[in-house]
Amino acid sequence: MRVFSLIAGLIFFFSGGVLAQQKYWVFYTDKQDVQFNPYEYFDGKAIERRLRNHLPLFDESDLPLQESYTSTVGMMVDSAGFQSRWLNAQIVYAFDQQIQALYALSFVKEIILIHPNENQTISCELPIQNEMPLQYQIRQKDDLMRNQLMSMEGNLFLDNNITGKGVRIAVFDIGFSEVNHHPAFEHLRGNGKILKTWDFVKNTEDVYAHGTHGRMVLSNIAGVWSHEMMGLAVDAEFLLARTEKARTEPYSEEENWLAAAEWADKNGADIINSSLGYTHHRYFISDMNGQVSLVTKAAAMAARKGMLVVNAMGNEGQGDWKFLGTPADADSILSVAGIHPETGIHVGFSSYGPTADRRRKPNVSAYGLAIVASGDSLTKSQGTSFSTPLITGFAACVLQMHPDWTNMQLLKAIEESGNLYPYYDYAHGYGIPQASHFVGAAGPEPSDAFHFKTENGQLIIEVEEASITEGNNYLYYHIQRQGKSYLSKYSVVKVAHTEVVYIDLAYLNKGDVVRVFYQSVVKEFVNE
Amino acid sequence: MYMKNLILLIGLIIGSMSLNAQDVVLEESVPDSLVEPKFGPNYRHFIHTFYNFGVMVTESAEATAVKAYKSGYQLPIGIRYKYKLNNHVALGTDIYYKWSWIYFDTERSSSSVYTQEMYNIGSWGLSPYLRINVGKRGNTLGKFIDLFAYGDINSMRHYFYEQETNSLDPMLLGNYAEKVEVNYKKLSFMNTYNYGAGVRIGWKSYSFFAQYRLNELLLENEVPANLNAGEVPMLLVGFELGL
Repeated sequence: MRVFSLIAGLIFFFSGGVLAQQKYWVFYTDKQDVQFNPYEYFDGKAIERRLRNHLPLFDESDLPLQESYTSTVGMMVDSAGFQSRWLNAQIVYAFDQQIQALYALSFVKEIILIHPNENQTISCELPIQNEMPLQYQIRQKDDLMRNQLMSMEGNLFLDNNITGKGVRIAVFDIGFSEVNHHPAFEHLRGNGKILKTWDFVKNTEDVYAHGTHGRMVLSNIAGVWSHEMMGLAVDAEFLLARTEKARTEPYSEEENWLAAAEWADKNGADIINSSLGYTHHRYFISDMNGQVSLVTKAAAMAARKGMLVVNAMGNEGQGDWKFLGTPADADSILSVAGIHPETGIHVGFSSYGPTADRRRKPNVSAYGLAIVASGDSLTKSQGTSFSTPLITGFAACVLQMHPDWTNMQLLKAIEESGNLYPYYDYAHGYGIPQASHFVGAAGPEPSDAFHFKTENGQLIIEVEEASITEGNNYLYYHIQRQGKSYLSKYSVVKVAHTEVVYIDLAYLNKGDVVRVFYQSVVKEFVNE
Repeated sequence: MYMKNLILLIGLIIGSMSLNAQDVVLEESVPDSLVEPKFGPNYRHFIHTFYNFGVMVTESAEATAVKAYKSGYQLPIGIRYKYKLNNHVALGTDIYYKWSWIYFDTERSSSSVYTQEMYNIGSWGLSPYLRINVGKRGNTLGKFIDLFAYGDINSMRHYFYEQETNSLDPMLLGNYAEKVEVNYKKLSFMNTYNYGAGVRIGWKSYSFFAQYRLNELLLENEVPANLNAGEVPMLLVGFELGL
């Protein structure tokens, strides 16, 4: 008998409590007669952002939910939770009979069951931290810490006193342990640059616990260690939001992301840094189309509110999944891939694009191995989680220089500043953004050092012998089929000889384009 | 002459390779249409290994026979195939080899002189199942309930006992060893097959199961009377790990 009781208990446990109350989104038809004063609700910076982005001061998605609707529903269900202005929807916990009763309400547009939480281990980050021996550590750290910024020509921003001043950045993460006393953030605390914090998991103000990932990420936006910058936006203002649960990833994290985005909007964020993503635990690769996940819809909505969302591509490049996670698949956001500091090209773990509907992702790249703030010192860590804040810091500097730019102008300009631009591939995007594009300094000297030739039925890409150098000297090329909007093939070759690439002409159809990047010059061959 | 030509040819090949060899550090193709993989935990086909450990529920035999058995364990190792019909229903089958140890209660008879006594069975088995998944998920096994049937061929059927030699005639072997072990193989009173059904409740790689044998393991009229033991308990519960 005891055995059967045990089995019955297990069945109930694993069934997710089918017979118990469940969690739903209740969507409302309208926000009729809702009063709203944008000057009372929004921070002044949020108003500024709307004006800068040529948006109305508010639209219907900014209004609160109709209180008579929410109170009616609240009385008919077991309990009610988060209300999303953007979605005009509310989370409720209810039994099936209660949900059936809600359908009868004329102002209820749609009810969607939120499936039971699928608890998983963390997949959105790859914080492999290697504490190095102290004596070795300093030299190594100095090199990498300098280069993670120099690779973006960050010194040019600093020379021009551009440090993200006046730009407000919201950081969504798992927790910001030690940020309240770590020396790397002393300047932020001392100057009152951490404006607001909110833990959307526990609904408290304290975000300085639960995880170190947020601390490491923040350090790559604005950390300073012994007068050395770890990120480029050391004078920016910050809103810190905890949206992730430690060790598990229930679906509620996506709801938290949405809630945090609305909070960031209200509090005047210009940029959202999101070093997280969701993949196979909840989704299929075909879902990575910018349409399916709640978090990708929230990211797209944040972009429509004029915020620049900077999101990590993910660390699945060497796994079965391989492709980007969500919300990196969202339209109109900046998705960031990782570069290996030693090779200067795509680092293996960085997830690849394109999106499932063949849009270009990633947009740009930055170092995927970086020096970050550890417990009370510095450490080396890896993951696109850390490429992302490097780009966020860069974006803040550009926005400081161009405070009148819309978020889409900003996004486009950062893409155009990529060291590969206008060349593109799904591993690097447009490459690493370069500050020289914005401060008027001379970039690398382009050298017309390669040409195409056809010989014996082959297309040969040949470089000048003088251009062959020791070290990281790469030629990038991709093939775009005639009439296709996406790339069919892309490759990076380390140049050691003059004839670098052979492509069988029979492989190319009429109108196919072979586009090549070598030493800052892009050329294309169109197969006639 | 032939050898010279061969060396020349190999030299030319190596030379031309090194002349043209470039270090392709990254190369990726993008297929014309996005095709979801067919193989994976929540794709059309999936295969994985599993290991489980089951404990016999000895109480179940009490009502029908002398409580002859103290405990019983099984340890299968196998391969599981899953064919997904839709996001909630899948069919599949397990192929496995299973070791079973069924320990007698050596004190069931006051005249017993054995310190250990057991059946030791090795079986090849096949177990088709119907899987019902609960909840939305990506490419993971998720939460599931399996209803399964199984059939085993008992290729190894042993009866084993261990006895201390002080209970033996010292004139024979008693003075030469502390213990004696006897293993009877190919038991004629044990069925060469058995079958049953069960339920498995799982989450990702982990599951609990209960299974019930529907036929008798021992051939009723052929069990030696001096064994003083009836049918082996039918119910088994356990834990499983899928990798």
